[in-house]
Amino acid sequence: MEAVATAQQESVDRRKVVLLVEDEFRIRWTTSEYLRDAGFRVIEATSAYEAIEVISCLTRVDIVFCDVNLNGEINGHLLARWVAKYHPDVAMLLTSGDPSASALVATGRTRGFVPKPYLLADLQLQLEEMLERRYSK
Amino acid sequence: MNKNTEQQVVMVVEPDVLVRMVVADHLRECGYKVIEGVAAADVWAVLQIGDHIDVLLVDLDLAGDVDGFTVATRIRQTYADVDVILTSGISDAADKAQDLCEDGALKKPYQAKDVAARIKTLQARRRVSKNKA
Repeated sequence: MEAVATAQQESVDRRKVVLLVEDEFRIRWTTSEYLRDAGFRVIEATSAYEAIEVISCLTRVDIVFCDVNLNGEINGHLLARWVAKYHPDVAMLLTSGDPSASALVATGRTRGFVPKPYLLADLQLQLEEMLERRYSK
Repeated sequence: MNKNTEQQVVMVVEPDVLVRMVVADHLRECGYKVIEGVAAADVWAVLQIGDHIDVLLVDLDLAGDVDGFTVATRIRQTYADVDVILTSGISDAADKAQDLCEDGALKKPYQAKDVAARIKTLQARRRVSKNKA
């Protein structure tokens, strides 16, 4: 019963769900506020491990926005591989201050890379474009 | 600015991502602006740049070396205008979030038991996914 109620609550909300994975508090705070104001539902995770918990437990995550360099054993690239293997329908946008990190991002309509530093307006645009590609046939 | 027309800010400091997500979502749906943190340092980061927090909902167990009780004590000494609510465990966090919602800008037909039930459902899914791994 509880699981049914939870799934119903999640399906009623029509906002696109962004899972923001960032271990730096200030970046996570400002980015999540901006994206919420832009109309997304934003879930904040501070590590790849937390992100895996959220994706495994929620019925819907549309896109993961993740820093390549994260504290902990799992970095953004490993998280991207986990998402691709177990949740291939979830889009993935990676970011890094190291532009060469983009070379490791698998290409595809639901995979993307945005170099740091980025403008929040540009990030919003890229998320919207990727989600549009994801949902277009 | 007229404080009555401003959106009230609640900072939820809770290291468990599932608890934090549900409590923060619930408070947002009740009309609050919510900042999410996991450690004492996150609270200082907000206050030191001069951003206002109306209510600090802080769990006793936090990430990092400083616990919630110490944060509450320091806040009450230094930032007397911040209301501090200490929480311990899921049901307590849900109860106190619900108390806040009673005073929120938007009233939602949720009960504290619904917030707690949602957290427990997600945590049960977490256990299942761990067993599968």
